[in-house]
Amino acid sequence: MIQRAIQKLAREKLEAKAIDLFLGYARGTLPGRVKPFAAAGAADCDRLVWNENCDTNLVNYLARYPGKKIGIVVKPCDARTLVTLLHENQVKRENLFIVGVNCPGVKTGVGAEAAMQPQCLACEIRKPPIADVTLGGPVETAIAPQAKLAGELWDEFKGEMQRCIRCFACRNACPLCYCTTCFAEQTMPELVYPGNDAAESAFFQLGRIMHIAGRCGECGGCERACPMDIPLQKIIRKAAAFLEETYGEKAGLSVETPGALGTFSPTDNNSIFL
Amino acid sequence: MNPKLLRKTEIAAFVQSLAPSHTIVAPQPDEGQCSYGVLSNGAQPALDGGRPRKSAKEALYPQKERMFAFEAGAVEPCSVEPEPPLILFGVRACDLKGIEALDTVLLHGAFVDAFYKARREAAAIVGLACEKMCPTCFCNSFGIDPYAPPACDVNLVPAGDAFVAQPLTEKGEALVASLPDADAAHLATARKAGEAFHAAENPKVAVDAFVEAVAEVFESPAWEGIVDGCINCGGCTYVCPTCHCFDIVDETIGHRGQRVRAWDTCMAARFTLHTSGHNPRVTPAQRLRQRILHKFQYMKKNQSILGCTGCGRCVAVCPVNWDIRDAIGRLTEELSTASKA
Ligand code: SF4
Ligand code: SF4
Ligand code: SF4
Ligand code: SF4
Ligand code: SF4
Repeated sequence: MIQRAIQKLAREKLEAKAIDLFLGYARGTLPGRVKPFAAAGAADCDRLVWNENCDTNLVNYLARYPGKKIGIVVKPCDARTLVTLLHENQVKRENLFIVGVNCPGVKTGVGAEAAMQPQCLACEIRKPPIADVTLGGPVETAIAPQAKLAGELWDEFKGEMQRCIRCFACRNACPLCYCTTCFAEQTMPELVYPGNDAAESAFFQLGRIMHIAGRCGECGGCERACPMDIPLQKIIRKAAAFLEETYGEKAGLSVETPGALGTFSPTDNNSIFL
Repeated sequence: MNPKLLRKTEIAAFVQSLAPSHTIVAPQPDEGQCSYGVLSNGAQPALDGGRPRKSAKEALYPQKERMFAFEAGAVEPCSVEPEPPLILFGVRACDLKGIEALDTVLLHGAFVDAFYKARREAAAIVGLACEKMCPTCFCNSFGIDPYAPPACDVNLVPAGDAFVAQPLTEKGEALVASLPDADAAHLATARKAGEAFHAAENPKVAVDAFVEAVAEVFESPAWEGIVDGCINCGGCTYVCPTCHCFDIVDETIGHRGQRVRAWDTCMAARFTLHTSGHNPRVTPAQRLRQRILHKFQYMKKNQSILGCTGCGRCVAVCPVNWDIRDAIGRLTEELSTASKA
């Protein structure tokens, strides 16, 4: 149903030349996988699919098409990253046709082996906070996310950083990591040397998390991209929970309000700063 | 050389018996998959854990290696630190082929890599035949047969409650000398394992046609057509058994430092960044072209070997399902049509 609706919307908008391309998903090459797919004409629209494996956050591709009018499918978490990009003037609202999908969660694998992805197990936002059209019926949220955040993560994090190969896939998969030169890749001065020592991997990862705290849409893209299966969601959610507790803000929920990083008041809690 | 028998119940003890004089690198459980790593005392190698997450190249060619140290005014000369020789135990055929590819670059090229050479020449390699292919494996497309593997000293073939250990070199023969000869029943089971593997192989990718199609290509609109969703994350190159590009940097603290060689990836912006700030390779299409041409054109020309062994790891790790098998098919078609037009 949703798939047919996506195809129809994409076709209509492309035919009417209201958009230049439509970002969606196409069938993948492996069971339980889909590929990001940019439909450039009405004839491509039959290839658009929608199923429970549609995990990739397509917002990550918007920067690839500067000045174009783009249709895009977003889940609630993807839409939250889009809201952050709108806050930060990285995309223009008038260039977007946003098809939101109410989301029961995405899964890895097919059939009996399909498993709900970690970010979905702890997701509270099931309706896209921004969309021109929203597809799918309302979804109940039944989770206890706080339970997953309990405890200190530092030792676990240090352990995981022993396994990091510093490929930066987590960064590249994130729509919010759009710096032209990432601090981890700059050469003058060189802040992170190439290699895989745990200390520098931790420095990189903490830097990345600092840069996305208060902006992250909790889409799980970083964790999914990690070839070492490092559970990045855990620490990211911890940062998000801290933000929420301290500043009363959850990132990417409204274009109208500026978000935690977009406001300043002398009475703000400064406890995290030296 | 006589095939020997290694009972599954005796693997840990056997490996342990080799350990006093050697460092053993073998597959071990790792977050639901398995990974090659240094086996700790008495640990059991995970020989039934499927294809290890990363290739075995890391044991011989670590991600980061110190070349020499320096202090203001003095250089501690480049010395190859003595390490206990390695035994790579339970290496998949695609990784064995990968080691062959690394050899052509680091051992048999114009420059010999002293660190690699020291490790490689001292190492003994024990292959492990796969019982079945993973959905992403396509080693068969490259003529690789886990039951008649490339470059290893011993090959382990599954035979029910045991492995048949077939020595293939003198080094290998010495390694398994303490094991009993394989009996006829186990040899028959091992043969059946080979037959079962070959009967259930994945469909082949037409590699030869592709190598021919890309032999002379550089500029072509076809590259843009295969980008799909590639985000240049580089995961694929780090898990690959043949990718061998490195970067050299000086890590300094005050007046001291060390020169380090570390893996690099052609997917990254910094890979081709010039001192001037100019970067000749900026688009995903340009970077994918490099990855593909290095493997299927440059290595073929310069090293007479291909830079892909069909291990399928890049397909398995890719977050956006960029599938080299699919790219090979589409490029072959595009490039052959283009050359006819
Ligand atoms: S994707 Fe995983 S392995 Fe790669 S840099 Fe990020 S945390 Fe490290
Ligand atoms: S940090 Fe990870 S979870 Fe957050 S928006 Fe980026 S990719 Fe998504
Ligand atoms: S092919 Fe996949 S794994 Fe490789 S760089 Fe592109 S997105 Fe990353
Ligand atoms: S290119 Fe991919 S399939 Fe080929 S050897 Fe490397 S990781 Fe394996
Ligand atoms: S590619 Fe071939 S040798 Fe490698 S794990 Fe798969 S079946 Fe085994």
